[in-house]
Amino acid sequence: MDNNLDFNIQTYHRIYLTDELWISINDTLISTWIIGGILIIFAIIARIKIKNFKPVPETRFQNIIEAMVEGFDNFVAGVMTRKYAFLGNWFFGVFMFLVFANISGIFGLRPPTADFATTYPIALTTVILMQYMGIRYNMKKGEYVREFFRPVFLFAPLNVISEFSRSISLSLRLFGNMAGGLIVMGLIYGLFPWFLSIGIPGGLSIYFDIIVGALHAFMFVVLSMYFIMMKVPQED
Amino acid sequence: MITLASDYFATAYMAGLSHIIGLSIIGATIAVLAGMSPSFAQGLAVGRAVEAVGRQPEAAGQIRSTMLIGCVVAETGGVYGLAVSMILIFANPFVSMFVDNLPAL
Repeated sequence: MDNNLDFNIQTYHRIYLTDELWISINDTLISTWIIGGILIIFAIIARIKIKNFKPVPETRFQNIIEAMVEGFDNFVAGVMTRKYAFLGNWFFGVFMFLVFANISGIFGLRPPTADFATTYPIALTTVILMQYMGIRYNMKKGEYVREFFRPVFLFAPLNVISEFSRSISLSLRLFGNMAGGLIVMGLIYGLFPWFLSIGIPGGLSIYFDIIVGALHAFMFVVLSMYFIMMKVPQED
Repeated sequence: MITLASDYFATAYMAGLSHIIGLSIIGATIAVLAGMSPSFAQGLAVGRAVEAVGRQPEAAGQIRSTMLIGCVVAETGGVYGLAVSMILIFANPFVSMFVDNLPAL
């Protein structure tokens, strides 16, 4: 029972670069490698099978792939307009990684998203992408710069801070939900007596691992898209 | 004389450490109470969404997605409280500050 109630990240090995600086081989890194490996193998299989694809789908595999890609592309084109729908390629990768990472808890891995070191870089890429899209599409008459001086020029430092606080709120939301689910599930597995732990943890695991995980992976992507749409000119 | 001094030191050390840990747990409990208001707000939002679906059932899909985004954004405050309480329990900065700054005996 003692081991079940330790929610910290287990470090298995340390690779020392210098005496002060090391790389930890820990739970998060191993889960990330496993999930990344599964996704890469899936992508390679899809790439090999794509040669046999017909204009009218015949196999089940082609139907699944087409439904996933088309559904996500239409969804991205609905949130962002057709002009910026090319970002769907990036967001599909993020979405697949986050979904697999969030539901990996039911396979006995520690979810990588229950570590702030995983969620913050992903949210930071969103903020960098926001700035890139703003500079690329909104720089013609200097709207991108003028946005920072609204409503008066005194607000410029606050606007810069608010840009970067988006990354914190985005990553902390995902991290908090996944870590909260991990702690609740750990308490239930560790503290329930045996006669209560027959069916109840399974039902709770469906909620905390699958429903919350899929919902927050989806919301991460949707909020990233909305943040990017705030920075680019709307066409209508 | 030496044993007396070290005994006194150990007692004072344990008292200080337990003081810090106990107050941190109380602070973590208060921080997690921040989850009350987002739950209340989400209940209000979902109630209004149900009213809207009842009034206009053909717009159910749009109402549902808007409500979900609003709920998730409203949840941020509660999640901040949860993060603060998790830092206070699992990665308490004050314990390490206390251990690092012990006066040399």
